[in-house]
Amino acid sequence: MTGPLPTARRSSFLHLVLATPAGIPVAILALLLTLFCVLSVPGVVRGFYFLFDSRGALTLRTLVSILNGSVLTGIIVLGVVMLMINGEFDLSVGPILAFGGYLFGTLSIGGTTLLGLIHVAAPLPPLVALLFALLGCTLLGVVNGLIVTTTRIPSFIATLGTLFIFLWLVSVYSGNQSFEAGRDASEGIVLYRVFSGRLRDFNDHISGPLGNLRVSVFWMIALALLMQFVLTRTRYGNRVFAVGGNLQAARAQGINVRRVKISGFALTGLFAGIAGVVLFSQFTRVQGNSGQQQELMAIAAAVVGGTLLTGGYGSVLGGLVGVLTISTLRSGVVLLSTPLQNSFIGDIPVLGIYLVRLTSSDNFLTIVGLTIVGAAVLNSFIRRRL
Amino acid sequence: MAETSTGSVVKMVGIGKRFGTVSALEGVDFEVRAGEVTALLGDNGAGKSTLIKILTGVYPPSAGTIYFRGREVRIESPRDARELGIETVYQDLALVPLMSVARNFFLGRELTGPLRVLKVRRMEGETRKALGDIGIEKFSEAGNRSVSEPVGKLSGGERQSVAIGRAVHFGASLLILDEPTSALSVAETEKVLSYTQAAKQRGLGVIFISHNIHHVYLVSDRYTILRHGRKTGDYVKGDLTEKDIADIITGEREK
Repeated sequence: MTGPLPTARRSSFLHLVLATPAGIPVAILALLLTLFCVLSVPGVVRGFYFLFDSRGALTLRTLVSILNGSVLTGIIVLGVVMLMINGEFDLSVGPILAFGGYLFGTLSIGGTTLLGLIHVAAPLPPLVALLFALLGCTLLGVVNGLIVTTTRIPSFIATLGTLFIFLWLVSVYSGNQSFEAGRDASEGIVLYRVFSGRLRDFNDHISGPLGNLRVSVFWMIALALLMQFVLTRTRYGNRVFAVGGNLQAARAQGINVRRVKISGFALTGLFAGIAGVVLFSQFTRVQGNSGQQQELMAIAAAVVGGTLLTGGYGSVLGGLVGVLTISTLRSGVVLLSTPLQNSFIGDIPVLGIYLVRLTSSDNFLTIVGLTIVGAAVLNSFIRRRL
Repeated sequence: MAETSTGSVVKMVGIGKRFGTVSALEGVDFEVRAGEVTALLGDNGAGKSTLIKILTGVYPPSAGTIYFRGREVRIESPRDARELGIETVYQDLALVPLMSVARNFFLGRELTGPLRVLKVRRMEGETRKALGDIGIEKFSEAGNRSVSEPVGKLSGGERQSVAIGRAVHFGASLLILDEPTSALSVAETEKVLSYTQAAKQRGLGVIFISHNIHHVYLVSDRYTILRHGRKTGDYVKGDLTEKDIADIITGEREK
């Protein structure tokens, strides 16, 4: 085990699982996946008939769609977790994501007028567009960091402010219009597929559900492993934990607390920007509210993944598992609702209609809410027991 | 022990500090010698912590000069103080509870390889050895504590010992112990006091701040007593009994 995690009692596997911030969400996820598998057994309940096709291939298809659906929040959460370990929040990642999408899209496609002033006639080389997009988003993160470290107002408030300011920035940049790349233009840009193509675009032999898997899933996993290494194995990560764990002690040991915090906000902006680039690569379309709710989903995933709201403790892999948990719930709720509505439950007089409503996919957010509260309670309970 | 080195580590002359119209310190002289434990005593509000905060770069003084090893210095930030070799051991502030003992020990001075990747094993080995060197055996291979444990699992005394061991290991020349024993059990207090002696024998100047006159009396070579922001006097061990010290602090007796 690495880093500032409890390592004293390695006696049992259970302890090892519980001592890792990611342990609990991994357990929850395993439970949910098992549930899916059980539900996929043909003929268990008439209502679940719709959950699988004749070859029982649904589990893999569902898994692929869960992974594909996790990517944007999964990339954002890497920055958000690191920032929370730092003891700070960033509520402004949504508009930063949109900003990154607009920058990458407009610059790589060209033929647009920005701010009604600058006319980008010819497209920039995609890699240059990427560079500008990531740089722009990192700068927004630095702005957050400067505001928080200079004014010393809580980052929760500061970034609530910049959330709206950056939304305004995005709408000024875009002229309040969504931006869409034409089919012909986007076909020619290989970088889009490198970021978010499907496996079958690269290799004809990969067919079926696996062919639907997006490359962005691998980017997300690679970035997560990189961040995990940075946090637990490098000097920088060590200082992030120190600053979030005891600011006074870190300062007393000569650590430049301000620099660590500002770089934390900058990295959070960078990851939101990467998510924006991936978003545009996938949909070749971006709009002002593209990143809506991402900030809260990312914080929710971080908390489910065992990260402390008070700073000093957490894991990016845990955060990623948190995102996968929420994504699994989303698929689960959607998949379960239809068969239930079509089953005998809908025929039960009076009560039936309420049962159907209770299981409708509109309940997704409620279930996420319950998961957050449950995971937070479970996490703190287990931490006290250790 | 005291005779091994008698050079002045720090000398503060005519220190004054005003907060608005309130005068916290007035014309205080304070000296600490190498290889000696100097106690700083006084009731709440006497000005002890203000004096220490000036010495550690938290506040600038309103008046007075500070000499460090005979050279006039300006200490404008905690970083300045640290660069001079002034280390402070606070009751709770010095360590990060969720980080391991070894990571705390090397905090801000991490041992790294290429790309600033931490050398965790080496840091753990050196921490174990450094703590053993000043007589802290708990973290050795045979001991019941591990340097990879989070500091939050240690007792108050164990935390103090890690903080003191760290200051001594990294070559501090002045060690400030701010209420080091206030939350400790009797057995742990004895341990911490013995580490204080170990630090002194290595030639460090030690400032010991405590409300517990009994502890102060046990370990200190000299006493400086403050009252209402002024110094009542400097005393050498043997000049005063514990009762005398208490009387001077409370103002029962003006000396």
